[in-house]
Amino acid sequence: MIGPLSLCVLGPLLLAALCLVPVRAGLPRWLAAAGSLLTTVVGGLALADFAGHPGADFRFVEAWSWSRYYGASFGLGIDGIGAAMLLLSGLVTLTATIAAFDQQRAPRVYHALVLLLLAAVNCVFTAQDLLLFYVGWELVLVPMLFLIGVFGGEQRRYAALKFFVFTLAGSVAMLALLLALWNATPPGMAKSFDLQQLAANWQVWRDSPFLGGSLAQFGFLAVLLACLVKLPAVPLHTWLPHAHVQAPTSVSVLLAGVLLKLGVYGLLRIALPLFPGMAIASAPLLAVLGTVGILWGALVALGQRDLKRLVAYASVSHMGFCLLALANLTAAGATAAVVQAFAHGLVSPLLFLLVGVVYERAHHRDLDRFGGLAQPMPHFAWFLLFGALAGCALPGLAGFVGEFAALQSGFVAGAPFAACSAVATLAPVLAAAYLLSAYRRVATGPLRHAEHANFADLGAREWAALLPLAVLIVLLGVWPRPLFAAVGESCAVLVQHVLGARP
Amino acid sequence: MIAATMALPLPAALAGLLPEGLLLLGIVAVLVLDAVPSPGRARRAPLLGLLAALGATAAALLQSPVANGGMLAFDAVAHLVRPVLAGAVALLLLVRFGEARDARGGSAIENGAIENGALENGAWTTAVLGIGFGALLVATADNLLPFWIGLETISVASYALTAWRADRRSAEAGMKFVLFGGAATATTLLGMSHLYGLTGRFDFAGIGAGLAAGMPLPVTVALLLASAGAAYKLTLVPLHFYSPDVHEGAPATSLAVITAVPKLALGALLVRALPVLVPQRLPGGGGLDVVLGNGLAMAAIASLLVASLTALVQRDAKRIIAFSGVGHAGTVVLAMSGLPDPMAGATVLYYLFGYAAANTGALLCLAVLERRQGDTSLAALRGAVREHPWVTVALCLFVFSLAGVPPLAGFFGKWSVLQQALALGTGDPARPLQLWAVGALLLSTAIAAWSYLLIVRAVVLGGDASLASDEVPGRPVRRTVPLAMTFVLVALAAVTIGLGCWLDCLPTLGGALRP
Repeated sequence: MIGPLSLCVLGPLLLAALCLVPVRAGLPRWLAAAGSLLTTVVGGLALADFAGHPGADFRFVEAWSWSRYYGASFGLGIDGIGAAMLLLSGLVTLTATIAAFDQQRAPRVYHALVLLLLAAVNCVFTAQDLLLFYVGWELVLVPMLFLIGVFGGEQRRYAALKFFVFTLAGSVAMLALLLALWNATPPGMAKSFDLQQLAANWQVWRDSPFLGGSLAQFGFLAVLLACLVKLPAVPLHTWLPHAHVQAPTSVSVLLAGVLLKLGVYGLLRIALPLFPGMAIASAPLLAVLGTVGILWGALVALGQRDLKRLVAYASVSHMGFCLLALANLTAAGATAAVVQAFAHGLVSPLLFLLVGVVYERAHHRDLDRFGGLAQPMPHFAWFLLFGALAGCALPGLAGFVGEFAALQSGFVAGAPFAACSAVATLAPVLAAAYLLSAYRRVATGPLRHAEHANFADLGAREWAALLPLAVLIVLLGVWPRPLFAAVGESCAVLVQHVLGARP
Repeated sequence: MIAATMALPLPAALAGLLPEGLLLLGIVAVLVLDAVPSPGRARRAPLLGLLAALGATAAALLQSPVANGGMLAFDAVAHLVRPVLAGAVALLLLVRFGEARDARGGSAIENGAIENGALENGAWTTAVLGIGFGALLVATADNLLPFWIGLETISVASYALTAWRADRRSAEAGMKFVLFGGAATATTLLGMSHLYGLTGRFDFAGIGAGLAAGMPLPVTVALLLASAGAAYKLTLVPLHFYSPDVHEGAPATSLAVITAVPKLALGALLVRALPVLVPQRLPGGGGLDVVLGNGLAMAAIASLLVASLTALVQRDAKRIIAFSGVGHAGTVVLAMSGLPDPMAGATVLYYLFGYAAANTGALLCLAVLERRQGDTSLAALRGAVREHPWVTVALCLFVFSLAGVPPLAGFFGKWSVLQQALALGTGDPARPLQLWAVGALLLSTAIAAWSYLLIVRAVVLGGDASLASDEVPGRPVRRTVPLAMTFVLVALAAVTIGLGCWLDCLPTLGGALRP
């Protein structure tokens, strides 16, 4: 019996194949919309279920045996964290599909790739089996390679290959980990890749020697590397600005809204539960890495002239909050990391869409060559102001909820975390500086160029992509409780498991 | 030795040889009928060859494993590999048959990358059947003599297929292949004569017994000499350097025949021979299997690193595939270093099945794309996606499998080799090189990904004629691919995906190999 989760994984795959059937040129975009809508509905229902009946259990569980020999299964299931991520993946893909609804270049291929990406991402967010998780994790690379490399800008090929090789290098280490885990399972124990069983056996990994250290040490570093590349954390972030600048708008939306979340999810699902001892030991280091990312991203964003690079570095800064929050190993911190990831998954796509709106009209993104766009495009200017305010964590909007929760959890968690959080408090101030100044340079003042006066304001497609995101940003800003309720229990149990490893 | 041949009653021995016999019959029939001029001659030779290969596949499938067959071993390894070899030959002849038919209809082949004269078809079919015959013999050999005959048959047919195109590069590649192959097989023959002189035996078990009885050093040297032929066919470093030149010069269709099929046959032979050749215990104590394992791991490390690093600077897709072959050969010998464990044998076969499907598929795709501009340099391949969208998709699939992207066959092949090497390395302190080989394999996977991406980049992303540019004047010319080629590519793609998803294939093979 096929359940809702396998529908979210296999459905997009099937739709991707259908996209390539040359029937009607207009069909693929509807198929992509259907696939992402399906994910949104399943994710939304699951999140509502967890919000209504909080619990740390896994729901919608399905399992088919895949390999007896390896103990691998096609096992799917989600807890609150997975539900939030699934909903986000559906929402963002839907937005990206709307943004690319008039895709002119090879629409069949484009939408098929988006659907393949959706399937792979959903596979990661719902996998209960480490091998399946890894398959999805790797499979994400292939459609992304083509989405950037085929549909991107001038230097798209370089950006695509850099993205692929960076993330592949990260995941090769994870492959070694999978093998080592399977190998280290003691003879009396059934070999398995079941994530919950792997987490329950954390002491085995701690006590298994591996390459002169313990398996847990190696494993934690491997997962950390793979996840920090995706997150991205400074200094492993250098692929991100390239990829974003070269990617078309809709692909940037996917990259910022979904792909970066894989890093947070991987840390929460693999690194922390399987290697809790290492997580405790390296928590201060992670907090420092997060803080460095927050400040580095913000400071570099201050110096950007290219609007899209600015938003990309803002992403680096905002995703740093996830790492900072998760590092303090409290229930509140882990919850804040998920909420901040969700909030960033709404705000950043909104900003990238707005960059796309300007770029489509002006064909450049140079901040110094704009000015006064609020006159021909008032609605756009309002959205840009709204996005900038959401980005610099104005209370009442989504960004505030995530960042406040992250900082607050840090302040009460102990000296090193409080210090990091105190430093990180600068970030919203810096964000206000770079985002509001970008707004000022783009939208306010007199019109710099006469031809800008002819720019049309937002069209129907742009409204359709922007408005739902804006509504959700406000909704999450004023009523975050359902999300906290749905995620909280799972995070509390996770942290309890991690702290159980304290000597 | 005659007594050994007679270990089976004659009818049973002949029945065992039915696949080889059918291929030989096919060769004879093609040669004889080719002399008779008639209107349908162009299609007749590939059709006859195809029927012979299909018959051989069926015969090999229907056979049941037999304990002892004399000079030839109809054991579990042969039982698993022979149908695959014969089937691969059938698929390759099907491609040729489809093209011959299309040439008659006047479509598909524009600039004569493969000439379609009737005689050429006959000769081509004969060469391919010859390779199939040699491969079957190698895969079944339990004795140095059939191994030698099979190896030479493969080599001679390979030389001909390499120099197939009547141009300078093809001829040069063929010449290089002849000289290098001649030297390698001569070395093998030298080693074999020493082995016979030292042990008085040609069969693997007898040589192994001689080795166990004493004289380990001279026999080991002779074995090393004799293995040169196998190393050169597998393209292991340092006997690999003819391979890129052969790949560059030979037509891609020929390469599809002469690369994967012989490697698979040799893999089967080594899985059978290594455990009996190398005794577990030497007279003075100490296990030669550990020495052999470390030696193979060292060969693997060298091949993996050299291949992945050299591939980075190549500017021709076929050369990249050649270095990929070197790297994959390194992975295969790493898998062999776990012998005599039957699971190691299963790993070798599983890996080679996946490699053969992806490698043959990639080369067949390149054979289609080669006809656009006459070569497969990355510059010439640019924008292939516009003319051949589906072939390009297939090429990407095969290349991703070679690169090891899950869930394709190449990934789980690599996975099983890594898993075994890791278990050996951590479990046995006498095998430290296994862990280094694991590191080398992981590192080379990351490095080689870049060179595989160069192919993907050229065909999909490259050039002004790429999918993305709006400025291409007019609609792209979509070229058709013969139905037979489409069928073969789909079949190989199905194998590549299917082997990847069927994780329990490895334990199933292991169960079949367990005595």
